[in-house]
Amino acid sequence: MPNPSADELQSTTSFDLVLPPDPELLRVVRLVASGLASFTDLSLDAVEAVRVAADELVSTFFQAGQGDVTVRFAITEASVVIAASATLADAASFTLDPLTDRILDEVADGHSFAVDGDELTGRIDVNLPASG
Amino acid sequence: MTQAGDGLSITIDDTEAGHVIKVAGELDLASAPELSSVLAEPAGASTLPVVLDLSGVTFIDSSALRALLLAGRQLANAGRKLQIGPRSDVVSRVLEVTQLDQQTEAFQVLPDPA
Repeated sequence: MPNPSADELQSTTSFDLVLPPDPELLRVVRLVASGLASFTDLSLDAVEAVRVAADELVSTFFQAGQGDVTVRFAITEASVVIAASATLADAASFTLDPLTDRILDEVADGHSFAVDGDELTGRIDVNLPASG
Repeated sequence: MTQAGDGLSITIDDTEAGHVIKVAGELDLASAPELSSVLAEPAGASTLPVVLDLSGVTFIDSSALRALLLAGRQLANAGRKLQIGPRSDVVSRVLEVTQLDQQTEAFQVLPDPA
């Protein structure tokens, strides 16, 4: 399941943004993503990776979805997680764009998208450095 | 110069090297249509290449790359070349990650003098 589980979110910081699919709001998404990542021990390059991954994730939802997109930002013990969900405009035709897939392969430690009925969910993970 | 929202500026200059379009700011799903619009109507009937100067680009995502690919194909169909000239590290990295820094039918990535 793409969204962070309750166990994952235990003792973590998380909050949701509900966004209309307005591309201008991607700047807000990037700002929030990098702001959240800056609370962690991630390097500057990794914070930038979170910013890029958040943009790719939410852009996908803005283009494929209809109506509001719910974006969950979370810091778990192991990673920064950004998850999104929305109703698809056309569930049968959804495919992840290859360029988006390549970029997420590079900047995120994990990414996944799933279609269940007419709902699209997706998440990206950027791992925190091992402590100790 | 055109301004698309708060995040993008585009300046156009015709030189001996070609029709140079200088872009600064963030290229994403919101601003890519403005870039597409500029690339869809390059100057006159010239056969000179259209050269993109992306040295001032601070962010670029797959939406903008798709716009560049589409514009490059349209220009090629019209007998013109789209060339990616000077570019920021951010742009170079995304072109490398997506392997668009290699040969594509849509545009040519010029050696980066930086």
